[in-house]
Amino acid sequence: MAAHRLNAAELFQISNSYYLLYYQVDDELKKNAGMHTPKIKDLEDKREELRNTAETFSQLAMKEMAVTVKTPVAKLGNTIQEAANTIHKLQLAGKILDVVGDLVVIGGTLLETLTNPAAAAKLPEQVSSLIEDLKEIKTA
Amino acid sequence: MRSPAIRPILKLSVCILISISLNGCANLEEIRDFSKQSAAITASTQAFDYELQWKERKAEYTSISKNYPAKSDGNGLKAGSFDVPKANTLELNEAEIKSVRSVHTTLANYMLAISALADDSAIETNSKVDELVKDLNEFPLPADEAERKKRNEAYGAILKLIKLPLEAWRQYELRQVIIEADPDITTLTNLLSLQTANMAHRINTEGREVDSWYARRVSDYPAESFVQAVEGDQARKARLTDTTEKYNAAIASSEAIAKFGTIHHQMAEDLGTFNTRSVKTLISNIKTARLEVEKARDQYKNAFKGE
Repeated sequence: MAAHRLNAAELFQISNSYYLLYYQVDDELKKNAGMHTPKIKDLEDKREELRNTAETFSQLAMKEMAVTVKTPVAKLGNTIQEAANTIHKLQLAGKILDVVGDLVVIGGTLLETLTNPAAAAKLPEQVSSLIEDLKEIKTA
Repeated sequence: MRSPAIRPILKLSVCILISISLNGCANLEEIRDFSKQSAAITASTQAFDYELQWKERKAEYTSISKNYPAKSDGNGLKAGSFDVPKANTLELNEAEIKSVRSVHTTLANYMLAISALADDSAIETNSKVDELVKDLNEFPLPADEAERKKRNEAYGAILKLIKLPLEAWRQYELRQVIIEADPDITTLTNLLSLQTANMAHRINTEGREVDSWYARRVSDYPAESFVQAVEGDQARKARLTDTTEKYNAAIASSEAIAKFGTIHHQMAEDLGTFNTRSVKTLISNIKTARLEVEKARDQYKNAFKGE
């Protein structure tokens, strides 16, 4: 049977577990600070071993992670680009609604001039607004 | 003559408007805010950067240690000098560092994209469209005011109807993005959460080993004066407090990243169901998660503010 190659997540989990064990031994040693007995010496060695193991797995996990993330990062990059395109299209559609609004307002003003010729004074501003919105669509 | 023809359109537009306002906008607002907060926390690489700088900090301790010759073992002085804090440094090449950092930036960019799609202002129309009904009411035709108002309300509803498919499209795209990205988000948030916890442990270990180093130094080289002893003690305590704060903040950040992954997965599963109850539960969970993420973000910012 082929040996199971640990992935980055598993390597991190192992490293993190060893760190927790290291804390337990370190706390124990701190409680007995200043004592020099064979048991304390054993604990000191154990602490060293646990820290080294945790650090070794951490190192391996980081290297594995650097490789593992490449594909999902690239895929997610494409998704982000697609989302950005959708937002762009939505903004463009919003601008088109602005133009519809401009046209309706201009149409209304033209109708109004039939009974009130003075209303034509509003037209230059309304046409400018329409031109502005059309320019924005062109540059979008 | 015109009114009866417009009535069904009015009814339809009102129905869609109510449906969207009940099921969509409020939900999207929570998603927008939650994604924004999560983007801020995943973009932060300070814990990783701080750990990478351990090499420089360790070099400083090595330089200090050189001022202390190794203690006698009873047969004269040992060769070399006093030891250094034992925690090992993280050895990564530039490409590996860049790859790890890309997880932070990609996740943050993704969350910002989600936030932008969930933002109501994604479809912007200027005030003319929204105030069109008011403008139309000023127009002289038809002469009967009641008839004119009725007609103009219908025009307003038609314009809003034009906006509705865009809103529906935005919500559909948001759902699609969340569903399609979910497997990659699950992988990356899981890894980043574990990695951030690992950085927290490395930082904490550094703090503990530096503290032990101070203890050994005090024991082997007692201070020459009271002031020196107090200064040494203060430096030791400050160092330990600093690393403990960083450790706690990085752990909180790791949990917040994992929370984003869980909520994202829940969104991918529940947003497509149109089940009101599950969506309500989801929104309530998003709200709680946002508060937790905000808290973790503040803690992280404070702990790493000098880095």
